[in-house]
Parts: sequence; structure tokens; C-alpha cells
Amino acid sequence: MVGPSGVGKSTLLHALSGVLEAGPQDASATGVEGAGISGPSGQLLVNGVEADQRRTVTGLLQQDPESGIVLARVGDDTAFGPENLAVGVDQIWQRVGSSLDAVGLDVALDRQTDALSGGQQQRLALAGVTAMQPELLLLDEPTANLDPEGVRTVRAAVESVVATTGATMLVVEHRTEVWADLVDRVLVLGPYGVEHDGTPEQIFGNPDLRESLIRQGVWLPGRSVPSPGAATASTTHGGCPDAAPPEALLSLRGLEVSRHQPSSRALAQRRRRIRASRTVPHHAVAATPVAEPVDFTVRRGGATAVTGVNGAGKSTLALTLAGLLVPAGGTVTAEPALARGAVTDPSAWSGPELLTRIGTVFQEPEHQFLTNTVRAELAEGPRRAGWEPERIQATVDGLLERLELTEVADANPFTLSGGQKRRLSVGTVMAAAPDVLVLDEPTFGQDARTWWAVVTLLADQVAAGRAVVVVTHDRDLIQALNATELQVHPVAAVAQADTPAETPAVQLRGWLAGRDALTKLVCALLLTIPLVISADPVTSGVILVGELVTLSVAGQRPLRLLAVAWPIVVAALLSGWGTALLAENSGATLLHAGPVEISEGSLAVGAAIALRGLALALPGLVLLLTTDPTDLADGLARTAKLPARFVIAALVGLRLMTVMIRQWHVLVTARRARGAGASRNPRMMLQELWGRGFGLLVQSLRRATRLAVTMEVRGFGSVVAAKHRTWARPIRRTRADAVLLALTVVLGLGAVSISAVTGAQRFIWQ
Amino acid sequence: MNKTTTSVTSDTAGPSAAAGARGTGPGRSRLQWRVVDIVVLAVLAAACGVIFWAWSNLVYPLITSAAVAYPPASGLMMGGWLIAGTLGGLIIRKPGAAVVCELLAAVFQALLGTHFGMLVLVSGAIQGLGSELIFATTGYRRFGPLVATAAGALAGLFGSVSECIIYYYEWPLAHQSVYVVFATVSGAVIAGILMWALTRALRSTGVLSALSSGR
Repeated sequence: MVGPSGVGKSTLLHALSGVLEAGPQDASATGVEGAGISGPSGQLLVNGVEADQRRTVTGLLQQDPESGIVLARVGDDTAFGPENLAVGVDQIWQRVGSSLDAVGLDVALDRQTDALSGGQQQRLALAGVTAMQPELLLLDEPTANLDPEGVRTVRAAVESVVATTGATMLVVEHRTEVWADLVDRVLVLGPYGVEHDGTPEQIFGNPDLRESLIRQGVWLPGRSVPSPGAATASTTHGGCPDAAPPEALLSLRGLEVSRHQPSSRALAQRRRRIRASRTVPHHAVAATPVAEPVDFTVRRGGATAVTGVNGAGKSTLALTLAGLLVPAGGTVTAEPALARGAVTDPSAWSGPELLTRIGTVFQEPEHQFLTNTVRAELAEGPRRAGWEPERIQATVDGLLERLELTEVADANPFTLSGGQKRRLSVGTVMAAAPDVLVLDEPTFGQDARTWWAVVTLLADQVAAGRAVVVVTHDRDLIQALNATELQVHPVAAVAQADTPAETPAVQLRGWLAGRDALTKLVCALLLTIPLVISADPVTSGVILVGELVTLSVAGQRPLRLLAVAWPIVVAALLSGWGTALLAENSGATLLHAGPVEISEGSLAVGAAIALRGLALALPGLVLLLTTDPTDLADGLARTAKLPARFVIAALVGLRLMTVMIRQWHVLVTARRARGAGASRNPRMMLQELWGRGFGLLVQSLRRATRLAVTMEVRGFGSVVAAKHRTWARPIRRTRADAVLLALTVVLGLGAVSISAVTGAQRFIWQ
Repeated sequence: MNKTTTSVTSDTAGPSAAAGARGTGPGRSRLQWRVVDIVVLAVLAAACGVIFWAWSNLVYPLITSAAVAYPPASGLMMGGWLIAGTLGGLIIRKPGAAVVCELLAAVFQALLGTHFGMLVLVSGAIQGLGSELIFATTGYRRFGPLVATAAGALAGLFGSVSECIIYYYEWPLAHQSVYVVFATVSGAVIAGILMWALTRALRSTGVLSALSSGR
């Protein structure tokens, strides 16, 4: 199925899978303004039954790989669909195995889904769909965000799945060459419905039709890409081969790049030191290089393509030469033509210095939006650079016209189409007229028309004497820009260590880790009760000692645990201090300085509070460190009978948190490229926190909406009532779990009894 | 919450056009939880967990110095921990959204390294209940700046009073009162009016279009 953007191809796929939202009915029911939304009309039958009855098992694969995955472990994620369809447990694992085989994903079942590459994630999503044994397979540009290797493997996986399941496949795609030999019918959609319907030969072979499809942005099989850059390049330097090479702007010497960046505090210190021509402290240098050292010179009027295999550190290299990351070794030096009086290390530049010299465009345009209209967005860079209003106005008007964004000048940047957002993000960094433009995969997910617009824009920049550096897999782009290739080679040992760095905390093994998750939660809650109601140090003391002894006996090292979790120790001490300061004074005065007075009595009360805080925090901490969230969720939904849909959704939220933290770091860097976030003024810091939080929320809500579609298509809470779904993982409760529960009860009751016997007992209401 | 779950899931057609028509009336379907509401709620709570974490990093030095000098002053920072409740209520607009969102966000935040033990469940539920009560009294029909401010303030009030009972029972009443007033004001501003502005800004990006708050 092909057609221009915005004719409703994705909507049709959602309707076919039976998850289309009903606009008008809902709107009239709620009584809010919604008359403008045109809802579905007419009839849509799948296997002779209304599509929204969901009688036919249907699978849907969307563009963003992250949105196709529901759970944290590969096996659990693949089993999610069959569970929702109430498939028998013994059959589920068979289906999981055969589906993973069919898509050629050969990883362990307990492999973390976040650690997979984009291509692997798409194949996993396909396996999750395959395990439902669909009769209808819907693909919505599933390879648009993948590198060539990912495209090849996903294409092969789809072919294999279609062959094994015999499902009907419907694919929406701009890049028709990927699927041309797999499909036997092509539909061309227009604003008023199906415009053409025929075999691939009939559609792609018709010269008139080809012409109109190309205008709509469809990539046709066998069409060569014209090369605007090749032409301009030959007129700029190709014509005079004897001339000296163009002026050097940036020199990379022995440059080693790293994803492990110093803390923001260390980076701020580094910037100050460099600007004061002092040496950089050791802790402000990045660790563990990801790629082999690079020597290269970026020259005026030249295009450079950074290439290399997945995970080689291409983006890391680009961000390092753009001054947004600091190197692990070697140097990035701005030559005098670029530095123009600033220090020669780009990573030490201030926001305005950076954005008038090097402009960086991130893969996700939304990461870099700072304002709420297109016009303001384009004016932001020049404004930060301190240009006069007339000059800004002229620049913005010129850019709006060139980027074909005049009509949407007052629209919110987040509401633009994908192609418009991409052009805007290139425009925003061009606005401040930097000499070097760095772009990460600028042609990902573009249709042929927007691809053309981006490439022309970049070729113009090269012709205007700027240096353009692109990170890309797109051979057509490299050819079109006539770019010099800069190949990045991964350091052998790091190549596969591409797993996310942020895991919540260390995982503990041992006796407690083997216990049933829900039992541990109940134990932690039970221990909390006597602690919450008691105010005396004896109860908390006994429980704390009991907890520490249990941990030692169970083979954990309690002191190391407290060292890992130092924030709770600090928090406990702080609350103890607060109480010592405020509580009624009695006994001898120990400290008296101005308004501060601490006596023996208030100190004892404060110490009791600190002790209680530690005893309260420890069980929760141990639960967290010894329990897999998926197991806990199973227990909560199946044994504790909490609503399954909410429990599973919480699990999804938890998985996305790792993704969000990674995204947060990208946001910080992406916004720095636009000159934001360098100020240490508290008002600016709060404003920047708001901006980042907003960016994170927008992206997360978008992803959540797509994920909800994925989950619904995979039968979540709608095909079979959530309470009747099956659960693929067995719950094993043994005698050891009973022992743990008994120990907890004994400890709780024992502590309360001991404090009563010793006469120390006091409750918080006393 | 249990009630709505069963009523939706017994409906095998899912949250389609027909589901609304077959419901027991327009009011029912307006307050029914759909899959997209549940998933967005959970993801929103997780995002709030991440924002809490960034907020703690930013304000931690401030809180520490304030808390060392005059402990009740830490109440002024409380609003930052209450945003999930009002945000959940304002964006999802379903019964229980504020409580569940604040509760989940508290759990998620605990996982990121600010540990208050099992009591995060209690704090999250109590604070969320404060916002929830305000939304409930409007029948989940009004979500303007006043309602948002009241929801933030009541969350701050509930949260700080419960903390005075559970943690700060040794403080004299005067200090406890100052703490409660600070927390309520902080809740009204940070978790109230600011979250209303945030919801409005989010709506203008179009990301809420699948939810009743975006229509």
C-alpha cells in the first residue's frame, strides 16, 4: 500500500486490526468539542466479520522498534500475545521457541529487550506477533528507522513468517524496493480512496503512474538517485584541481571517543579550567574508548560521511567533534578560521559560541525544540547569539521560505509532519550560520520527497562553503553529497558491550533471591507495621538487628548493602538531625549555638528516629535488590488479584524508565547543541529543567500511545477478559517461603514484646 | 477501579465505537478506563519518576541545607514530589487516575534510588488521594486552573499531615504547622498551577489526542 503522507494509511491498518479509536461517538458522549474529528464510516470486514469484533487474529508492526516491545525479557515479551489470547501454558513456550526461530532471533529467553539493536527489536516484535498465529499481518513501515543490516534481517524474517504461518501480509511503505518482490498486489491510496490497484508490474511499470508516485514521495524499485551535490561539488573545487585544499576548520588528532562521560559537575569544572588555560583534571576525561583513534580534518566546503558498523561509535564521534561530548583521548581542535578568538577546544565553548560555530542536528528533531512556534524556533539560535532584531527577522523569513515552512510559521513545532520537523531541525541550527553542520542520520524515515528536500538543503550548505558532517548508512546520501568517507572501527572488546549503562542498582543473589516475590513483599509490609506505629528505639533496634542478622545468615553482606544504598543512610541521619533540633529539650544541654539547641533528651529522640528510618528502609531495599519486577507483577495479579491490566501496564512503565533515563541524557546533550542548559543561574536552571521534563513527557506520551496500540493488537485486555488470560510463568512457593514468612512474624511480634517487657514501649500517638 | 476493569474486559469488542454505544450511558463510557488510558497512565508515572529523580538531583543540595538549618523549610520543596497525582488526574481524567499515578510514580522513584522503604506506598496513596478527592468532587468534569491548584494543595496538605504523624511526631505543634503550611503552598504552586500549565502545553503538541484531555 503506497500513497502520500496523511492519506490515512496507518489509520487503515489500525482499523483492520480492530483498535481504531471512535472519534465522534466518544466526543458526543463526553460533550466536549470534537465535532471536527471525522470518525470512521462505512463497513470494514475481516474474514466476513466487522474488524472491531476482533474475530481474526491480526498482527501489527509499527515503525518505532521501541514501541513494538512490551516486556523486559525476550521470552516474556514473545509470550505476551498468547497469554492474552488465553493459550494453554504448555503451548505458549512451544510457540515462543518456534516464533523466535522463524524470525531468526537467536538470543537467550531471559535476554533484556532493551539491550537489543533496532533490527533485533523489530524481529522480536514480529516474533511476538507470530506467536499469536495471525491470519493477517500488518506492517507499517517497519524498516524505516533501521540500518541496511536491520532492513535485510527484518525483511528476511517477514518472508519466513509469512511462509510458515500462511498469513495475508499488508505492508505500508515508501521504500517499495524492500518489499517489491514479496508482494503480489499494489494499492495506491489517495485522498479519496484507492486510486490504483494492480500487480507490481502494472503499477511500477506504468510510466505515467511512476511519475506521479515519485512526486508523492514513493521510492520506486530500480530508480537511480540524482546527485545534486556531485554537480555543485564539481563547480566548487572539482574545477580547479591544482588549487590548495580549502581552509581547515576542525582537526581531529588521535581522537578516541567514549559513551562514558564525566558527571555534569566535572564537565562544568573542565569547561572553566580550559577557558582559564589550566590543565584538565583526570576525572573530567571520558572513560573507555569505544572506537579506534581517528585522525581527520574537516574542511570548508567539504562533505564528510561518518560510516561504520552498528555500535562502532559513529554518533559518539560526531557528537565529540561537535563539542558536545568530551574525548577519552586525543584532541579536537578548532582551527583559527573556526575558533575566531574563542578557545580552541569546542567542548569548552559557551552556548552562543557553540551555536554560531558548530550546529548539530540530532536524529530525533523533537529533542531539540525549545519554543512553541516554528518562527520562534528559527529565531532562537540567532537570538541567543545576540543578533539585532532586524537581522533575525530577515534570516527567519528567508529560512521559512527556503524550508517551505511559511504556511506553518505559527504552528507548534511538535505538531508538524515528520518531513517538516526534519527540515525545521536542520533550519534551526542553520539559522545562526555555523561554519560546521553535524547531522545524525538525517535521512532516516524520510520519503523520497522529503529525502530530496533534506539532501538539497545540505548540498546548498556545502556549496555555500560550510562543512557538513553526516553520520549515515545511506549510500544514496553519500553519493548525492559526494562526501568523503570517515570510517569508524569499533574497539574489539567494546563492540558487543552495547548494553544500557543505567540499571537501577546491583542485583543480589543468594537465598533471598530465590524466594517467591509476593512473599517477600508481604514480609516487607508486615515488618513495616510495628515500625510505623512504634516511636521507641527498642522496637526499631530489635527489628534492625533482626534484619541484619537475617541478611547475614541468608548470605548477603548487610554492611556492603548499606554502603551501596548510602542515600537512605543519609536520609535517616538527616531526619534524626531534624528531630534532635526541633524536639523538646530535656536533660543536659549538649550544643547551644544561637537558635540551635540540642540536649541529651532531644539527641536520644533524634537517634531513635534515625534508627527507625534505617529499619524501615532495609526490607524495601532488599526486596528491590533480590526480586525481578516481572515475577512480582505475576504474584500481584494472580495471587493478590490486583487488576491485571494495571499491574501489567505498571510493568511496561517500569521497563520504559530505563529507556527514559537514556533519553534524558540525550535530551541534555541535544539541547546543549541549541545553546540551552549551560547557565548556572537558578532561574535558568529551573527553566531548563522544565524544558527537559516537557521534552521527555512529549516523547514518552507519544511512545505510550503507540505502545497501547501494540498491546491492544496483541490482545491485551480486549479479546479475552483480562481475568481469564493465562500466565506463562509458573509461580513456585515452597516451604522456604513459609519459613521466611514465619521468621518475619516472629521478628515483628518479638520486637513489640521485648519493648513492652523492658518498659520502653511508646507508640507514635503517645 | 475493580468495577471499571470488569465492565470493560467483559466487553469482548474492546474499546471500540461499539463499546461506547453498548455502555449503560454516556456518563459510563466517559469514565471507563480504556487500554490507552492505562498504558499512558503507567508511562506518565514512570516519566514523573524520572523527573522526580532529576528534581532531587537539582534541589538536593537546597533541601539538605534548608533541612539542616530549619527542618520545616523542606516543606517548600514538597510540591515536586506531588506532580504525578495532579498530572495523572488532569491528563487521564478517569476515576482513580490521580491516586494510581502518584502511587506508581512513588514506587518508580523508589526504584531509582530514593529509598523510603515500603512507606512510599503509603505516602504515594495518601498524597494521590488528596488530588483525587478534588477531581472526584467535580465529578471528573472540571480540570481548570482552580481545580488543579486545589488538587495540588490538598495533596500537599494530606502528604504533610501524614508525614507529621508518621515521621515528625516528635516535632512541637508549631513546627509541624509551619511544615504543613509550607507543603500546602508548595503543592498548590508546583503540583497545582504549574501542572495545569504543563497539561495545556502538552495538549498544544497534539500528543494527548488519543485521550479525553486532548479532545
